Amino acid sequence: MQAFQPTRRSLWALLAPSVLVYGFIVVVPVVVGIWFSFHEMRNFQMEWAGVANYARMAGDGDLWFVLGNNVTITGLAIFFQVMPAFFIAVLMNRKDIWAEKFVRTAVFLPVVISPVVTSFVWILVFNLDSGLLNSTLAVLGLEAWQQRWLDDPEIVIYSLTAVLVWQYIGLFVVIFLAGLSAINPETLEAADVDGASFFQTAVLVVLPQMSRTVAVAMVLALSGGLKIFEHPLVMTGGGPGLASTVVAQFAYDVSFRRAQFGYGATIAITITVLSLVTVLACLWIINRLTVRSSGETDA
Amino acid sequence: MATLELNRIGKVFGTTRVLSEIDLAVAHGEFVILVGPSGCGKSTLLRIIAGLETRHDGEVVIGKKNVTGLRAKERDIAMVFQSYALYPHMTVARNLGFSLRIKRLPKPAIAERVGRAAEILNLTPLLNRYPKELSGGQRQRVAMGRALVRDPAIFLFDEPLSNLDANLRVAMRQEISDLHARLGSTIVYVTHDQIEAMTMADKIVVMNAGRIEQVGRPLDLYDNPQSRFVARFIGAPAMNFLAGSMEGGAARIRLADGAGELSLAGRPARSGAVEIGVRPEHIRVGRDLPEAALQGIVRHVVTTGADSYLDLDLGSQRLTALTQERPDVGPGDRVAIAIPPSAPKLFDTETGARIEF
Amino acid sequence: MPKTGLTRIVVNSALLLLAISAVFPVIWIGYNSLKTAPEFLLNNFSLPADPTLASYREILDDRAFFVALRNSLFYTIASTVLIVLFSFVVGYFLARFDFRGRKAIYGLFVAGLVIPIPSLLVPIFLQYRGIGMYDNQFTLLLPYVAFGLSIAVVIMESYIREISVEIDEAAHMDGAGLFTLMWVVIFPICRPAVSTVALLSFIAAWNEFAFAVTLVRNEEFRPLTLWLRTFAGQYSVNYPGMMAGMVLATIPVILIYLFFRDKISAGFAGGAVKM
Ligand SMILES: Nc1ncnc2c1ncn2[C@@H]1O[C@H](COP(=O)(O)OP(=O)(O)OP(=O)(O)O)[C@@H](O)[C@H]1O
Ligand SMILES: [Mg+2]
Repeated sequence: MQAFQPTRRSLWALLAPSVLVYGFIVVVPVVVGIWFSFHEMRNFQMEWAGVANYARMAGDGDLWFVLGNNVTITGLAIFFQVMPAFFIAVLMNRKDIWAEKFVRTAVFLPVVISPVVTSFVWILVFNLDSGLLNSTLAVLGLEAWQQRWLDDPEIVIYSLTAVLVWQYIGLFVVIFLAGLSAINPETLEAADVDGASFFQTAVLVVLPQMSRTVAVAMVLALSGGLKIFEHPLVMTGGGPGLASTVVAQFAYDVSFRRAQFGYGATIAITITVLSLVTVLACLWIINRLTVRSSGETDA
Repeated sequence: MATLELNRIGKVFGTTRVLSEIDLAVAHGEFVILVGPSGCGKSTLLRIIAGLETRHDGEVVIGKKNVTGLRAKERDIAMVFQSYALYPHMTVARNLGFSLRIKRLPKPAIAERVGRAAEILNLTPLLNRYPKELSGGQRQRVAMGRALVRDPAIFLFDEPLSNLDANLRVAMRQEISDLHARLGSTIVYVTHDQIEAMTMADKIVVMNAGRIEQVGRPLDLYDNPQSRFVARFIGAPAMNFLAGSMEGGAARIRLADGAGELSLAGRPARSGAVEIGVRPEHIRVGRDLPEAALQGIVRHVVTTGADSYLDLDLGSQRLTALTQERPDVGPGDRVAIAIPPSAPKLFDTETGARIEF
Repeated sequence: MPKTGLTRIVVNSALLLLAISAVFPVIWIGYNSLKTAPEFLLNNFSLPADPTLASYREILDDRAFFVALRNSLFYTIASTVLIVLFSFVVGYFLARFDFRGRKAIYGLFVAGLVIPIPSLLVPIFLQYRGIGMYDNQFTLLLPYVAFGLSIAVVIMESYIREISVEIDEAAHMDGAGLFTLMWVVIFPICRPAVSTVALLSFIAAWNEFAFAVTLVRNEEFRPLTLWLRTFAGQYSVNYPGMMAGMVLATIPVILIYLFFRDKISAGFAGGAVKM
């Protein structure tokens, strides 16, 4: 105990504002959500519904479909965002980079822009005839490649993923750059001397030393998959049909469009718990596995 | 300035007892140094005096006042920390004046006292610098200055020189001694460097495993260690220890494994196994010494210039001798070893307690 | 990695291409906002032949924009200040003191890093409606503060933990009380962490949309993100007008980003992997 530690009462008095605000916004809603999940709105009254909402989730094909959308986006993001970001970071870590400041600034820029704004940016890029993408394809004589990027149910999920990758790849690049700065640069030089190619160096020398950072980045992408909300809401409203609806928006629509607040809360709580459990389990496993083998001091 | 009295101080961290039954009296203006091996509880004791470590047994009395229940800031004590703990965002002047600012002294008074402390410590040209713009020795002086401006009842130092290189350490040792001589302040100083202790202290407190082994003036501890621990701890190179056995009332002592006998100046009333301590500088070594009772073989000779150290085999036991003469012997030589009867100190093999005779 | 001239050129060109594709959409919006609608429809790729601020003038004539701007500034500044103050106090206590409940409090704040915020929208809406906090001037402040606190507390705590406790003890012995100790001695030392927290909070609050769209209806309380959505939604053909709105809503964060690029990217990355 510190000699300058205040009494228990004043300690808690000073902690109280933060803890209360935080508890009110983060903890209480979980409790409220759980309460609502056992009720349903009938004739503008909340009535006890037992586990009906939970039972309903199991048989709700739409819910499973939109969960599939989350899975698709997350899987694609790991493949097209986390993995490329790793290689981009290894490349950027070299000393002879042209316009290094510009490259670093540019790659991260989209991360700090509001999702609402980037969503509108991409609405315009994807716009049918006056959009940047289709008109550029036209100029290049590639009319055949033009698509109804946001209106074709087969394509919209990929367009959406592209936007998310575009916006957040910089975050992963910077995470990997931070991880890279913690490993001994001499191991890279040694690989160089040993005649390793770029991919050999990246995969055989860098990757093992950054295993923890890579694993944490994967978890981040995984939990990020359940946090998707604004982009589809603004860009497509989840359409056409449910083609680009994600589970967070599904819970939202169930509540606000159909006024089934109980069922909406049930879905919301389930995602929250699911996400908490998955992420904590992953982190626990990562910490178990990487405490010794990692070359990094702190990731 | 004031006296300090510790009465039966004890401290437990969790389930480990770190200090037990510490009694100590520090006189007005005395420079007391706590020494002991790492982990023996020196810092803990100092922090208890400071009031930084709460929840301990016993009492701390400063001046006439029992301050046991008081917080550090209420004890009128200044402390110089091992890391210096300078406020990195304040200039030297503000670091020095911080405590006075808190006491709401008027600005001119603060400036005056800061100026005086800076002058004493040669910090005047550095007053507008930030800690990160100072060398290690300068930071150390700022830390002392911060204690000085407060004119506290007692100064506490926790290994203040351990972050300095060897040369600077010697210089700062001198500076602190001078400062003490000039200001006559009461100082409790922690170190595990026994040279620091021997050169600066009025009184040394040797600690071991949470207890006080012995308290005394530096040379008293050197000449009259009350235990094997103190004997071994004080003095470099360390005292030699030989196993031996004796018959009660004899003025002689037989070395283990029959390497020879030592004569003693007195007749200890003890028989059986004992441990014999001999300071290296009391041992004489030569090719031919008339008074020599022992024979040994030279293992190494190390000469630093003024001093020479001889490592000797005495039967199966080892011995180090220190001499100011250039030795005329080399490794492998068979030599005579003389130990005057007044030199050996005897210790109980079991308890390590001194056996007087 | 072989450093032949060719690899160098390929690598660097690839990185430049990547960098350009990251910023081009933003720049494209920027210069097209200076066109007239017909010019945009004619050719959306070329630079404006005759740059015009007409679209901006139109927005600046609209009171709704200023109401939203005022609200955004209020939410952003107020939540940033509160987050900095709260997270410093909590971070300091967690880093320095040992008290019952310490671990629980830390765990509580860290959990906020993992919870998917969108999934709390419905419960928070129900809770707000239940106690009548829905749709007023302060509605958005609490969520912004609370969700900013998680990362802020983690950043502050780990920063303060790195500061030697001897500094606190020295200040205590110099006679400082807890208030002086915290705000005069430690807070200034935490400046790097404070600025990281402030920047992250500012950007997060400025950009926030999910809570806004869920908890606010009244035009008087809308932040810019919400204004932009309605505003942009009104235009089916006047794309430059829509783009001007986007530019106005984004300029502050882009400027702040350009000024504090390294701090911000390091803060985001550090925060992201702190979970
Ligand atoms: N906060 C603490 N909790 C538990 N044990 C502690 C704590 N502080 C110190 N100890 C233990 O108390 C014992 C004495 O520590 P102390 O710091 O007083 O030693 P020291 O004599 O100053 O050593 P050194 O010369 O290495 O500074 C050590 O064994 C240490 O491990
Ligand atoms: Mg110590």
